[in-house]
Amino acid sequence: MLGNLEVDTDEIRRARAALVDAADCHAQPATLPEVAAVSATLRHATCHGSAPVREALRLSIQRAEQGLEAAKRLATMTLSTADRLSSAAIAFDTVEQVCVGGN
Amino acid sequence: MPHITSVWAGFYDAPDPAPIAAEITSACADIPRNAARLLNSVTLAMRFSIGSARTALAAVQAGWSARQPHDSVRAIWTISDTVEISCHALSQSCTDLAAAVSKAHAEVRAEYSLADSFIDSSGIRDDPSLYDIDGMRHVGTERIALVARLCARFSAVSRALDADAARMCAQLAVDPGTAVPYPEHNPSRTRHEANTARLRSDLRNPTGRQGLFAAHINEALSQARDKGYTAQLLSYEPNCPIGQGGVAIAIGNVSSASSVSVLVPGVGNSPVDIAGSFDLANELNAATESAAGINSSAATVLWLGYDLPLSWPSDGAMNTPRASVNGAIHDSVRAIDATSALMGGVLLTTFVHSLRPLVNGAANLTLIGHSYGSTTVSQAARSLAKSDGVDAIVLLASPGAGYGITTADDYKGIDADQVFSLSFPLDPVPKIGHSTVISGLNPVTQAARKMAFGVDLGPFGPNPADASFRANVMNAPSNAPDGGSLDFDQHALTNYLSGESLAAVGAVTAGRYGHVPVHPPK
Repeated sequence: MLGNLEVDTDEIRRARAALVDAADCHAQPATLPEVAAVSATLRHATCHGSAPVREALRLSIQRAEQGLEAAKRLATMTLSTADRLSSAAIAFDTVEQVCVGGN
Repeated sequence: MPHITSVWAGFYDAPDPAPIAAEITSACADIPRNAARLLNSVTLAMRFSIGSARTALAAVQAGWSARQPHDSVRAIWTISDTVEISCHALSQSCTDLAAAVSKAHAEVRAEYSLADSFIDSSGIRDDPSLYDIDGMRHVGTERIALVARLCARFSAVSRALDADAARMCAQLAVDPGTAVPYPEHNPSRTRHEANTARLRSDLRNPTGRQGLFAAHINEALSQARDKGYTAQLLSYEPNCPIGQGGVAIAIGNVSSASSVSVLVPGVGNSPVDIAGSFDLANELNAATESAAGINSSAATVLWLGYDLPLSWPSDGAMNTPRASVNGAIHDSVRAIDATSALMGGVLLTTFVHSLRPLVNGAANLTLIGHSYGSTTVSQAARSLAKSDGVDAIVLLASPGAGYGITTADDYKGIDADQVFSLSFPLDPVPKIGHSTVISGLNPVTQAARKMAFGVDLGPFGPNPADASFRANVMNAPSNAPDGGSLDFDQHALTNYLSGESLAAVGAVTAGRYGHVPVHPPK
């Protein structure tokens, strides 16, 4: 069942801008040169020591890579949501203009 | 220069403390320290983003009365929060691990330092006069006691570090990204769609062997769908290699899997029979997920992209009686040495290069070869670099590791530690691979091998299950009953990928190398 829809496109745009800020934060680790350097060092590291130590070292490398990947994916997801909000705000404004024009 | 206690250990025939100390100090504390830094950067990024996500939620709630947009924005907030908590905990575990490793290093240094002080204060560094029998006896006893004390202390340090590492492994068991959905853009699916478009084009114009090949692959994909499997056609080459046709089909979603395996079968298999291995691939995925723990997902790529010897009876490459007889002779000759594996290794390397961009960057990637496929995997691993991102190789029922390889240390892109092999004792193929009969069948290639590689380790190269190869030899029993001599049930891929051996391979593909049962080094 459709209900009444209340919309304020300025607020939607404010939400979009805040999400873009959030996406910038999410993407930041992947853009920092020092993070890239540390990540490259880890990727080429060889794990020595006893079997449990090697396993723990390997897992630490893997979790760090997965953390960075997660941040990148979340940045993409956040930007995509921001884009959808932006499209919605444009669509609502267009509908309003059509309605105002029709009156 | 060895420490004086090692010299004494040799002199008095006592256990040397230095190897225990070396194993402790070889562990690099910078690895978990750097991992903690990366995880910390993600933690901070998430923490800063949460304020913006909260503002976004308040704004969208004020500006849009529908519930769905609120849920979408709230999801970003809650996922950021989950990732922050997870990365913070992991970062703490990595810091603890680095501290444990550094502490163990410091304890080793302190023990050696204490030993040096004791040596100087007790005057046992210098040998007593040859005529001082009591002095010699006293010094000898003191030295042996010190060496034994050092061994005991280092063993205690090592045990404590192992216990800390095992605890950290449990704390590091969770992927911090499990809460973050994968984007709709799925590169492996895009590859699948491009290849199925080419397949459909061949089906619309079925001509000769290419039409037959396309029909078989289409039927295989349809069988996978009927069984409810996600099947991705990652490679479709109806005329390569050498007219036989090559194909790679993944069971599971390669782009979202946390572990991806490439399974390379051996002689007698044909791309057109690929559907027969789908259940096996699915079982390998289940074993991988079981070893990896909660929220993991696995995909197995069946790669039949090389010129498989003896696959001609079913692939239709020899479609006239005369061609069939010639092909049978040619194909049989190719099965008695590793030349096809050498060429196949190059093709597999190319495939791995094309596969890695489709796979999640943090996923484990393992190459598994069975029988002649193991020789092909080994030959590919010869030319892989670390940057190619293959984490481990598994060589099952191997007739040999091929040419240009003497030990597991010769793979530049894969740590010897992550090279695994398994050959069941009653499997005839690894034995046949190293028999002098096979070796003498083709003296021309025997001479060529010696000329090209300087050494001839047999038509299939060294046996990766031999201790001298220095791979991790997996410890799992055969699942087939003893059927007497030349029992090829022992050799079957289904025998290797079931029971305890399947669980062992699953632990490798999940990246849980410490959980793989292996024989102790000889």
